[in-house]
Amino acid sequence: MPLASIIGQDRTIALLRGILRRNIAAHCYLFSGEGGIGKTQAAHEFAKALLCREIPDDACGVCANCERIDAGIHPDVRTIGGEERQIKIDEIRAIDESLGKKAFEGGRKVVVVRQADTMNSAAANAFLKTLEEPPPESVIILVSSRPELLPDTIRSRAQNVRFYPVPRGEIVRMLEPEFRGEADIRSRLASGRASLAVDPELLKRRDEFLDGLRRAVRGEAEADQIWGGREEIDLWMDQAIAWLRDIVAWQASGSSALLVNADREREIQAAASRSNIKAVSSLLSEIYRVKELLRFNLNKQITFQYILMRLAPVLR
Amino acid sequence: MKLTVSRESLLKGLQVIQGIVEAKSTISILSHMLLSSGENGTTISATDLEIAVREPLEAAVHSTGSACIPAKKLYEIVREINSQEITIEQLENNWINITGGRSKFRLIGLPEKDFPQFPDISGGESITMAASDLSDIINKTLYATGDNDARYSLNGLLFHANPSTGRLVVVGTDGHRLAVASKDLAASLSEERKVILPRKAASEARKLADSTANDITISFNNNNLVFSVDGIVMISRLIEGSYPNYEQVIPRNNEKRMKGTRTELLGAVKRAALVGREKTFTVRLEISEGLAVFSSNNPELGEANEPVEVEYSGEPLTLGFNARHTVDLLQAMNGEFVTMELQDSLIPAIIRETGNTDYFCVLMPMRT
Ligand SMILES: [Zn+2]
Repeated sequence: MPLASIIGQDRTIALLRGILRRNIAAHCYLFSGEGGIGKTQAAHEFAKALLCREIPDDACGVCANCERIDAGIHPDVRTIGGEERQIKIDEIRAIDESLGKKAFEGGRKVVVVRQADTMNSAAANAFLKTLEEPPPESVIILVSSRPELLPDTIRSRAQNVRFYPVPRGEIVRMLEPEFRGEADIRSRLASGRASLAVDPELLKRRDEFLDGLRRAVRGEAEADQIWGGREEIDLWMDQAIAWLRDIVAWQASGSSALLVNADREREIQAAASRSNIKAVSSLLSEIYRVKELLRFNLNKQITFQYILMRLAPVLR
Repeated sequence: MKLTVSRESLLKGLQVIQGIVEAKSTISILSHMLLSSGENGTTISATDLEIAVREPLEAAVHSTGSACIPAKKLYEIVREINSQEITIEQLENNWINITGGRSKFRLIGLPEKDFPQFPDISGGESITMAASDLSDIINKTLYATGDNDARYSLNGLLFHANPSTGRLVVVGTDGHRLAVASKDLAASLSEERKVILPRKAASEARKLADSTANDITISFNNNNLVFSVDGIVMISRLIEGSYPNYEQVIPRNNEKRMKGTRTELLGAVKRAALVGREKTFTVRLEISEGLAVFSSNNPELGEANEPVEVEYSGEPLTLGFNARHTVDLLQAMNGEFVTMELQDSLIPAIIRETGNTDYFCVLMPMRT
């Protein structure tokens, strides 16, 4: 999947391809924007494109460089972060040491830092030193959906490349040929994330979420059956938020126009009539807060039980 | 791929790459070696993405091809196997059969296409030197390099080939000590070359040099330095950036000369350091006519006093040195005598193998 195939980020992708075409890559980029809109994939493809031997402004995906970057074995390309823990100083030191050497194969050296905002403060300090004196022929790509958590000193040294949620109308247009009957509901559920909109599992996953939620409220499912890794929790939270917002939207407007889960109108209506708008709104802000706190190693089991307890009256 | 090799030559080939293969690498392919048989014969390759080695292997080839084999495991097997000849065969799904005598092993390999490409080494200019000279020059400088220093250029050896002086100068320094060794350039280069070879690569190059009696070729490429001998090619990435101007720290006007027997001085420093405070590790050197006294004292332990007879006729002088650094350099030196060129307790000392103009060290003095 080259840069050209990244959906819904035409202007940003055009910017990146222009940088490649004119061969004017900066030392450090910050790919920022909401989760799930293609930043990480774009960073990976941009890294490939910087070293691709076949296409000047994109990644061919099949040359020796593209293939090895995909396999994670290119000597001059390193990826860190994106795991369920903080980025530690050792990882930054290893990156720094590697960038401190000339490229093994003579081209550029590229580093991708996924979820760059998960650097702990020691790591961020060490990383700042690297940015202050960027090694020649090196390109560092920071990826973050929470750029505000990065120190100013790092942000100010990176060129910001913004990724935006895609307007719903655009997603509908994009979906129409392939997903005729589902274009509307898919565009709603994707909420601006084009890659999600075309995910074959999208509807199935939402249904599983609702089903799991019901079973959990009835005590038939435990946290670890529903909450796997951090990404799953994030996704679960997003779905819970969408569900609660739908309830609030129904309570406020009594119309289905604004619903994400528009195909579940009847259930939303039922839930809306069971509780008042103030209670659901406060529950919603509580979930936002828990989502925030989950970045700091909250106990999964306890957090999950707590959320269920709060959700139960609305769902029952 | 299927080939038969003598146990002895395979073992020798595997020994060469053991220092490079990373057994605990997070990238599993890097704990593997590539065994290839093709038009250009049979070769073993290994890399840790900083250093890459390729070496020839004499083998009876039954069918050509390549296999990616866990390098440490193969080495252990070959070391223990009870047979003069070993047959290696690649099967489907990257399985590898290793047979010798009555032993049969079946190892899980990796797809050959995942192995990192061997860097392009064409086009560089080369110089040649006796393997023993290369080993010596690295030995005399490597100890002085930094280890994990934030100034990356210090974590390696400067190789400075200067056609206008006709010399290859190799330098190591960590900012507290400096070692400079040089040799005549045995080839003419079109331009001056200054590259910084990482510590680990320098150590591997020394091992390579120690394994042969033949001349080693050193090629200067843009991004790497290549050592080749006996068909073995070792490539190292280079450290970015420029090397500090080390000539600034070499004192120019040290007039006092102290000459002593190297092993006697070494022994005296080692013994004097035994009671030294661990952190500062300073030994005191008091020189007077004909006598050098190394001493240390430690409020928690006591004192040591080690006199050595030396040739010295200047005014009495007292200096302090880092004991570890002094031991390192006296150990790296050869020859019976060493000469220290001194000025006062604040000016760095120059230490030479007496009579050898191709090598010297500079030691920063410490407060006593
Ligand atoms: Zn390509």
